[in-house]
Amino acid sequence: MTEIKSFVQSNLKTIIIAAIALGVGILAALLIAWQFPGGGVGTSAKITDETIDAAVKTYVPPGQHDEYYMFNSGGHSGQVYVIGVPSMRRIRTIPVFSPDSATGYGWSEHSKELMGDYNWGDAHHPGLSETKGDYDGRWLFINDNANSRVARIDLDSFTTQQILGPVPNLYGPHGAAFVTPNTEYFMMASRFSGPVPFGKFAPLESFSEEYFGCMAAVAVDPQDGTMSVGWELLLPPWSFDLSDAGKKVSEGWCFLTCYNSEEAYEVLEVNASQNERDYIVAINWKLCEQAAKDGKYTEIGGAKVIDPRQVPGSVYLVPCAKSPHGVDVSPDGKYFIGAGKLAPVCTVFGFEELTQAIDKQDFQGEAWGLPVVNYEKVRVAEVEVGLGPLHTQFDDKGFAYTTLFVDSQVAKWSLKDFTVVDKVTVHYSPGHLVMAEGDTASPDGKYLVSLNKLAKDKFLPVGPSHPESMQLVDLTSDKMKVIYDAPIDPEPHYGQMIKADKIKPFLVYPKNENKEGAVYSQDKARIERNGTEVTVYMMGFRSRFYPEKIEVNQGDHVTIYYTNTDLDQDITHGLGILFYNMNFEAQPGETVKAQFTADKAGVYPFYCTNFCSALHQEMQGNILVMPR
Amino acid sequence: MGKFLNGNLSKTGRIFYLLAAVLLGLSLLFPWWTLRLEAPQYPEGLSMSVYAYKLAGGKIPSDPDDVDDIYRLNILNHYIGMMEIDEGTFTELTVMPWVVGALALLAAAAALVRRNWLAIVAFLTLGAGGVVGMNRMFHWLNTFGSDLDPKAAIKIDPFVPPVMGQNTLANFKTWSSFGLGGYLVGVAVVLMVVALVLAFRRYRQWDKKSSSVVSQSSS
Repeated sequence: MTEIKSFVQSNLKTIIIAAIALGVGILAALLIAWQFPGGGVGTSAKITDETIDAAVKTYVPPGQHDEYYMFNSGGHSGQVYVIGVPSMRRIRTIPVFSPDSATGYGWSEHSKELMGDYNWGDAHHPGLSETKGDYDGRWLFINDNANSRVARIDLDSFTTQQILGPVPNLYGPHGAAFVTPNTEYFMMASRFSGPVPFGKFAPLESFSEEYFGCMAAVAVDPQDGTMSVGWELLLPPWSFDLSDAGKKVSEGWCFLTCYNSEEAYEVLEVNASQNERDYIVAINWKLCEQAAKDGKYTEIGGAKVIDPRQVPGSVYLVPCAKSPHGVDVSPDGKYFIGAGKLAPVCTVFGFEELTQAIDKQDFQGEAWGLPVVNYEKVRVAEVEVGLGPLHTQFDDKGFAYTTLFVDSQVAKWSLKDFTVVDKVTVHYSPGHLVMAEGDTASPDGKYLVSLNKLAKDKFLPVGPSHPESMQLVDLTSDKMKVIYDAPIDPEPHYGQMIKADKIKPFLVYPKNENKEGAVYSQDKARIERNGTEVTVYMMGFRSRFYPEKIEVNQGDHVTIYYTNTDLDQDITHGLGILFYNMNFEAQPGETVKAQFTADKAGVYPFYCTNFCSALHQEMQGNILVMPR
Repeated sequence: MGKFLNGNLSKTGRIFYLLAAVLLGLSLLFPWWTLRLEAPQYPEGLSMSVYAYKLAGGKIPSDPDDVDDIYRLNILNHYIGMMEIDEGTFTELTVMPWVVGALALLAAAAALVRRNWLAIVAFLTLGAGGVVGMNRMFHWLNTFGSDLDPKAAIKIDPFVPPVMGQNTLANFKTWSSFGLGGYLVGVAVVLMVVALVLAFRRYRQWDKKSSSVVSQSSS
């Protein structure tokens, strides 16, 4: 102690100088640091070169357009979202299975006919029409997982034009819509099993005997896209999850994944997760098509149903670990890849290997009377991608990209040596991923969008119901980078990203005097009465209605044909009627039919609901309902 | 002077008259006058062309079955109470192609028959036609700009849109100009004038020469 004291005393001067020097030094350092904003003193957001790079790559300046359209399913909103990439701006929402008062979908007669008995649907997997394995920009098909339906959106108008279904015998077509390379068909495979046809009763205990899975091949008219049930395939009572069509070397085949090969009917979470391997179902659809032509089917529920056990060569089972989710065919058609879900691997199967095993009858057994091919012979690789692999897409450089739900990552791996080369963390828990034309025969690379199931803290909080999160991942360098976070309403399951110049919609409905109910001039606008049936031939244009006074008697049934005669871009006119729960709109040049029963007496103003002009507020009229 | 009228067009003059006839004929294929409008809401612009025999409006390039911009202009114009632009209103459009055709034939005839007087008749008729035409044009521009419905929702002062040049009307900027057809007619007129001037100069030289011959012989 005395030693320290004597040391301090003898070196007092030096110590004081050192302390002063230290103080001056820190002060100088702080002063210098202050000169640099973002240098870490007192700033919250740090603008790095990486941020600037991401901003430049995703910023689409005013007046410019995005490079890609992305069509995302809206899940149980029953809609389809149109999003621009790389800006990630949502451009439009297309109503498909659910009413949309913003467009009058669900009120107009056409949309009511489309929706049928349902006012919701669960839109899962959009599929663009293809020619030679590439998107041709004509139609978008989307399934309704809830009510066994499928819809066609025409991309010349971005509107729903057909809803087919409920498709017979098919309980919940989760595995749809996956289009064949020339849009001959798209396949719909059942997630649930049940007695067929619909309405037939069988106790759950008879699950293995009286319940069936089913796949429908929906035929598409090459001229106008009209969908019809081509034929169906009776399948075991397993849950078919996803599907993909073969292409190039594997054209003529399609593949389905399944879980619950255990045939459990209660607590599936546990009971359907017992087998180490379930199956990828490989289907020779050309052979099935021929079988249907040859009459080798039974008619069930109005569909031609083929029992594959009666058509040898039509269906083979390929063992795949474990409760596999996605099955995706590589761009060259050589591989079909099962994503393990409950196993941390993507299993790569070779199509050539499959056909060889079939030729040599190299089977390891049978399930539900269908041959199970020898796993060891057909498997090309098991790629350890990470936990919870769900879906795979492809780029133009020979790489596959797989979402990892549990790891909350996307893994990039090589189709040449089957090694993982890169991973990127996404937020949080990705389901599907969408890549630029990433499921076609010629993917573009460049952009990957991870459709994440959880957003949590990624956006300003909006209470307990969160948006979903879409993250844009840049693929232009060796290292994948998340460059944009975009919120979206629940909930995109899958999407399709197509080069913008492949789609050329018209902008105004052409004038056509022969269209049912259309009127284009004031002298033709009129009200016709036939007993209690009143038909209004109405036109709307900036900023009036003809006729603007509609006199009816209480109890009359009123049909309105409403033509928007403003044949000018983006001049939409709506028609909302007070207290009658009526609202619809006509796009420029369009004629829309709607009807209602005037069961309430009184005066009911109507008006244009879509702001159209400086005199939009003046665009109004009256329905006068005389009391009975 | 009588000698001049009975004189013949030179080879150059005949070619010029023939060319003028061809240009007059060709002018029927192209718009004589065009109007282009732009507004903040119409960055792509609206346009209207006047041919000798018809009106034509611009179309939305991606929509092959589109109506035209005249349809759209009429809807916009009703706010200021302008009368409807309708081909049927302009009786000139039924007469003009015949007049132009006849003038082309007259010019061609002058080139073939070679007579100066016929060339002059062709030129004067064309000139008269031009004057009448411009008069009709002013008439219509004036009518459309000033004969406005007093009950229109948006009141504006009467105006006369320029035959050529820029104008501003509310949120619209307009550009009007002659079209290719109009310029072809203009060139035809110039060709005729040049041909006539050449013919007249040739006559003067010949006249001088012949009068000097006469004076020499008389001396």
